[in-house]
Amino acid sequence: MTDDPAPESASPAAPPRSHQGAYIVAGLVILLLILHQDNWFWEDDTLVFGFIPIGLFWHACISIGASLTWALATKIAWPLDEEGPSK
Amino acid sequence: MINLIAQLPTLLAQAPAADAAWYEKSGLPQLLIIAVYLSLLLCLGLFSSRLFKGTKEDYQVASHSIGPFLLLMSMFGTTMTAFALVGSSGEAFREGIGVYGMLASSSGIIHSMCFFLIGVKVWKLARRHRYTTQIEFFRDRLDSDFIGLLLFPILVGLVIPYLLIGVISGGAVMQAMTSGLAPEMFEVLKEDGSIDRALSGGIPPYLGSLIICVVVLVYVFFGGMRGTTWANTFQTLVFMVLGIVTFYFIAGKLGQEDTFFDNLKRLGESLPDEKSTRVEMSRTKFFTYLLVPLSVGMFPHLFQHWMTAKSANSFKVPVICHPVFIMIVWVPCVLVGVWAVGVYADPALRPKGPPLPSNANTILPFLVKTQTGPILGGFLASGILAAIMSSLDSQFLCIGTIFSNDVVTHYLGKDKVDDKRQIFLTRMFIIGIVAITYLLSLGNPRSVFALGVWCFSGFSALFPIVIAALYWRGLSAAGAISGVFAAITSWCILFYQGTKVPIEEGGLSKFVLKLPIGGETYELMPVVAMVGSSLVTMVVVSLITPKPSEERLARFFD
Repeated sequence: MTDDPAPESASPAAPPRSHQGAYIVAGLVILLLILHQDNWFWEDDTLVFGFIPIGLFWHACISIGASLTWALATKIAWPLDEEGPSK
Repeated sequence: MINLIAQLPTLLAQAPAADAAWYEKSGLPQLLIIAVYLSLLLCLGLFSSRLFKGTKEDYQVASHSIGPFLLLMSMFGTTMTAFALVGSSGEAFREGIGVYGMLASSSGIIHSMCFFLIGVKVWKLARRHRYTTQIEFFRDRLDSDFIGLLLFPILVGLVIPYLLIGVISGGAVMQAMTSGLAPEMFEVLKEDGSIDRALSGGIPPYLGSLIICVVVLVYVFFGGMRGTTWANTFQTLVFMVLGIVTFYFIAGKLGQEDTFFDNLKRLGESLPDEKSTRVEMSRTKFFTYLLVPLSVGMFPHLFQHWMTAKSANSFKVPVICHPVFIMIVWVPCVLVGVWAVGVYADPALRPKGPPLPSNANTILPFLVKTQTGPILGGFLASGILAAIMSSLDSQFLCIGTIFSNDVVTHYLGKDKVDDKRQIFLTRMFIIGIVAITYLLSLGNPRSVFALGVWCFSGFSALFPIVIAALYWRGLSAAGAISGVFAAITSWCILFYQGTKVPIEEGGLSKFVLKLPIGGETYELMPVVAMVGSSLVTMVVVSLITPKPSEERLARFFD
C-alpha cells in the first residue's frame, strides 16, 4: 500500500467539527429502531385508506422516515469535510 | 444454447398456427423478451469495455469514476437479490405482512447506516492507501498478514452459496417462464410419470443457468467494474419498473373491480386476520432480526462497489434513497403475497384455473402466468433475472479480484505482477469461479437455499470487527483475529444445531435460539449469539494484547 496525501480529510486549518449533528442523527436512528418494534400495531387489522394493513403502512412510513433521517445526516453529520481527490 | 438458437426459426415458424397468434404460443414470447433483454445486457457490457483504460484500477474499481446515481443503482441492485421480488411475495404468503418490517424496513435503516458509517470511511482510507479489497484494508490496519489468510476462505465461503442460489434460481426461472415452448424437446415428468405442465417444454435448468452464467461472464470479463455498474443500473431500473407494472396488472385481475383503487380496497378486505397482522410472528425474533442486515457492512462485493465512488459526496444519494427504494420494491410484492391468501380462500374472488402452488416461492410467477398475458410474463421473467444477475456479477468480479489481489499479487509481490498481468489474473479467476459455480449448480443442491439467512448472519458476525477497525484505536490484531474465530466458531456450532431441525418443521432456515425467562420462552435469531460472541471476544482480547504502533494508528485516525 502506498500512501498519498489525503486532501479529502480535514485540513489542519479547518475548524473543529461539531458533534451535535452526529448526536441528533444517532438519536433519530435510535428512535426509528424503537418505532420499528411496533408492538402497539401487532394485532391491529385496521386498513389504512381502505386497503393497506396498518402494520405494513407503519413500516412503509418507517422506510420514509429512515430516508429523511439519512437525508438530515448528510446535511448535519457528514463525516468528511471536503470532496475526495478527483482522478 | 446454440441448439436452441438454431431452432428458434423453427419454433417461430410453428407459432402462427391457425387457432393461435404467435404471441399466444406458450413460452415463446417470454423466451423472445428474455433473449432481447440478455442481448441488451451483452451490448451494454461490450460497449462499456470500449471505455476501458487498460489499468487494474479501471478494471476492478472503474478508476473511482462512479457518480451518485450509478452508485445508488449499483449498490441497490447488488444488495437486492431475486428474493426481493420472488421471495418477498412468497414469505408474505406464508408469514403475512410482518415480513416487510422484519426484512425490509429494518434493512432500510441498517443498510444506509452501514453506507454512512462504514462505506464513506473505508472509501476515504482506501483512496488514501490504495485498497481495492477488504483484506488489503484489514492487513494494513492491523499490521497482520494472518488476518488476510483467515478472512479469505471465510469471505469466499460465505459468498459461494449466494452465487449458487443465483445461478440455480436463474435456471429455474427460465424454465418456469418458458414452459410450453418445446414440449417434445424438454419434457418434464412428475414423480408419478405424468407430464408436469408447469415446467414441461421450458428451457431446462442446466441450459438456463448456463445462459445466465455466460451473459454475466461476458459483460464482467470485458467490462470489468464499469460494465458491472452499468449493467447493474440497467437491471435495477428494469426490476423496479416491472415490479410496479406487475403489481398494477395483478391487482386489476384479482380485484375484478372497475378502478385500480376499488381493486385495492376489495383485495384489502379479503385479507385474513393472521396475514394482515402479526399474530403468528414472534416479537423477539422480529426484534433480533435487526442484526441480520448488518451483514452489508462486511459484504466483499459491496466493499468493492464503495471503492468505485468518485467522491465521498457520491455516497449521499445512496444513503438517502436506499430505504425508499426498498419500500418501492417490497411493498407491492408483500401485498401481492398476502392477497393471494385472501383471494384464493374467498369463493367470490377465487380465479378460475389451477389452484395455488404448494411452493410459496412460486406465488408471484404463478400469478403472473395465470392472471396476466405472456408478454407481461416475459417482462417479469426479465425483471427476476435482472435482480438475480445484478448480484451475481458483482460477486463474480469480487471473488476474481480477491484471488488476484489478496492471494497471487500479495504473495508474489506487487513488483512482479504488473497491471496487465493483474487484469489477466482477475479475468482468469472470474472464468474459473463462474465455471465452478455452474458445475456445482448442476448438482442442483436445493439445500443451499436454506443457507441464505445463515450467510447473512455470518457476515453480520464480522460486523463488530470492521466497525472497531474504523472507530476504535484500541483494536489489536489478536483481538480482531480472536473475534473472527469466535464468529466462525459460533456460526459452526449454531449451524450444526440448525441441521437437527426436522425438514417438516422448516429445517435450517427456521432454527431459532430459545431463551426461557420467568416461565416464558423467547425466540431469538442465531445471529444474536454470533454477533455477541465475536464482539465480546474481540473487545476482551484487544484489551489485554498489544495495540498496533502509534505510527500505524496515525495513518487511520485523523
